[in-house]
Amino acid sequence: MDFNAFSKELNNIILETSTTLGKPINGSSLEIIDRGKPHKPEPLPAGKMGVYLFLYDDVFLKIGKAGPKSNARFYSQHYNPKSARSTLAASILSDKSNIAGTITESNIGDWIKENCHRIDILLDADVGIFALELIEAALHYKYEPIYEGFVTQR
Amino acid sequence: MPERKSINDFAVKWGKKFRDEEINYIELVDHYFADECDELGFVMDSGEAFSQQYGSASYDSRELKKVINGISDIELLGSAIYSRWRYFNHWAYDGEEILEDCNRAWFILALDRLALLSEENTLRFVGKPQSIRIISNNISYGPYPDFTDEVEQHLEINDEGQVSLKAFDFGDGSKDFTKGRSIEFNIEKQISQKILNLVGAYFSQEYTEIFATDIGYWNLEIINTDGEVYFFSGSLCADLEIDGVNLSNLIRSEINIENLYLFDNNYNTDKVNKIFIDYHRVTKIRPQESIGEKEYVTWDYSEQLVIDRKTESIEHIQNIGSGCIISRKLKVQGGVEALLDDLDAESLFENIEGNPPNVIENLNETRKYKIIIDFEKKEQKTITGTYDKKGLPNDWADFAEYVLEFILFYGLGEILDPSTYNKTRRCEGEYIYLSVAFEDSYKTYFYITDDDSIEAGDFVLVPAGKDNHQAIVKVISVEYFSEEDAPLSPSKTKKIIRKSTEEDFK
Repeated sequence: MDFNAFSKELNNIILETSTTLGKPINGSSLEIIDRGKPHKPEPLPAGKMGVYLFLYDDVFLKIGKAGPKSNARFYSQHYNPKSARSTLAASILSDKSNIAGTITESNIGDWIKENCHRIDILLDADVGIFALELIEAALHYKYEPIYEGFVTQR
Repeated sequence: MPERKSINDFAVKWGKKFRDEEINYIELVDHYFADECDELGFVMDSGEAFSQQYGSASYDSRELKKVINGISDIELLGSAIYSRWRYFNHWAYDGEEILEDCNRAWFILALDRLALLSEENTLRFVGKPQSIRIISNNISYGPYPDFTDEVEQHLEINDEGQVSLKAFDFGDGSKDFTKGRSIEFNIEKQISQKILNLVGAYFSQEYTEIFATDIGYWNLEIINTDGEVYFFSGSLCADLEIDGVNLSNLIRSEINIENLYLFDNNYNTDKVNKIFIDYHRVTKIRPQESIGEKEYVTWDYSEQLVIDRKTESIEHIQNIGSGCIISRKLKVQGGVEALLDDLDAESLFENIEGNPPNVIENLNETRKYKIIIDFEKKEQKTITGTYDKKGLPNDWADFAEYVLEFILFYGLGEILDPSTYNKTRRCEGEYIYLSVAFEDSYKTYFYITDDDSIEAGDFVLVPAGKDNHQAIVKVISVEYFSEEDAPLSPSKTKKIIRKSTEEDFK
């Protein structure tokens, strides 16, 4: 996947969708950061909220949002299967297709950092939750991440 | 449960109809009312659930008036309204009885209360809390819930010390959950009031909604002693703290029920409170000249780094040798706390690869470390090892880079900074000359400005070239010159446009 092109695609989706709805999301309040693969997660900067995307071999694993006071969800929970009821780490471990091979609870976090591509979309918190929800929903619709929603709902 | 707004729309609409003196009773008893109740998930149970709690208030408007301000369960009230309507639609001798004053009054009271309960309220909580009701739902997409998994909890506590917990299991995954455990008991009034007061105090501050995907949600309703209802909601990952007290933990411990989801799904993240790092290098040095019988002299060098939430400080101490100790302490209110908050207490320094058995030891030098971490919840953790890539935790580099960046941000101060002590003060009639450098160029150019706030290192926007196109340049130095001493005549020196902003870089 060409991630430069992909970042532009994300930018277009956000701007075009919000413009179509008559409330364009101002480009200056939006930042798309390609953390790459391997990647190093970064905390949510103060005054920001974010949407995160995890990909493995061009398959979208998880796309989610986190508000300005939900840094743990954005920064660390998805790398630790025991940090919340539903995390990327827990989903990969319980995935019967065994995408990550021989991994365990103790090394799944490192496996995700080494093998998954992460992209963060940061948005100024004062743009509001509805803008973040719009971005998340548009990306769910477009990329259908495999660990969002129950299988029966997809 | 459907959105509050749908319930509110329903309550407001039908409240108006029941107030309408001209309305035909058919409009009130026709099936439309039932259709909407079904859509909102209200249950027609002949008023049984409601009358169990409120007795004859399920049909008597005078009795309802006595208890109406204490009713806070939207679903229960909605179902009571549906059931009462069903009486006139189905059982009453004449459906027109619904228009009798006492019956209208009952519906108006109930629907007004439903409207109030379902009203979106973004205000801060005001008053003295009389009761709280927390609905926590932890359904998320990770593991698909089992039939018996408890997925929703309704907890109510009032200032009389009454506690009620109703839990619901996932069931077969259809629309309705199955009823799970139901507990009612009393705690000391003093304890319930402590809980209510802290919850009230937290939500009397500005509340920024905590939201994240795929983690469940909570809805909180606080009723004050004037019967006013306040609503708050968030995702089930909220570590709500006031005066150092975590609200979820407080409620769990005070009512003595551990497995409550509350605001954090019982996953409230642990915190790192203190990190103590001791680094120790011992180097044997062979002196050029013999020093008696000793073949080596030993240089014993150590460093300690202490990051402490309680004192909001970072202290770095270097023990360089006998009589040579360098220490530096940063006390940054809020900053050190934020730095520690950004560390993941669950996984910090969890994995160390370790050196292979065939690693070659340097007999003349050893580098070792000891790290002690104090957590909020977990027991203290101590790790030791050799200070090298494989002997240190896998996430050491990230941690070290993060802490270094934090420390360097504050720099070494101004006392010894040449740009401070070499700065001359501007005199009347002097011009401000900026020496600037263009990107990828070492050559500097003079520009003048009126902005005396510009300092070396700042970026400014300038007209460049013969066409005066705009360019961003870095200020290398700031100097003041009178007209006669100026390196270039002020009239022949270009003036900067302004200091650069973030927008200019975008």
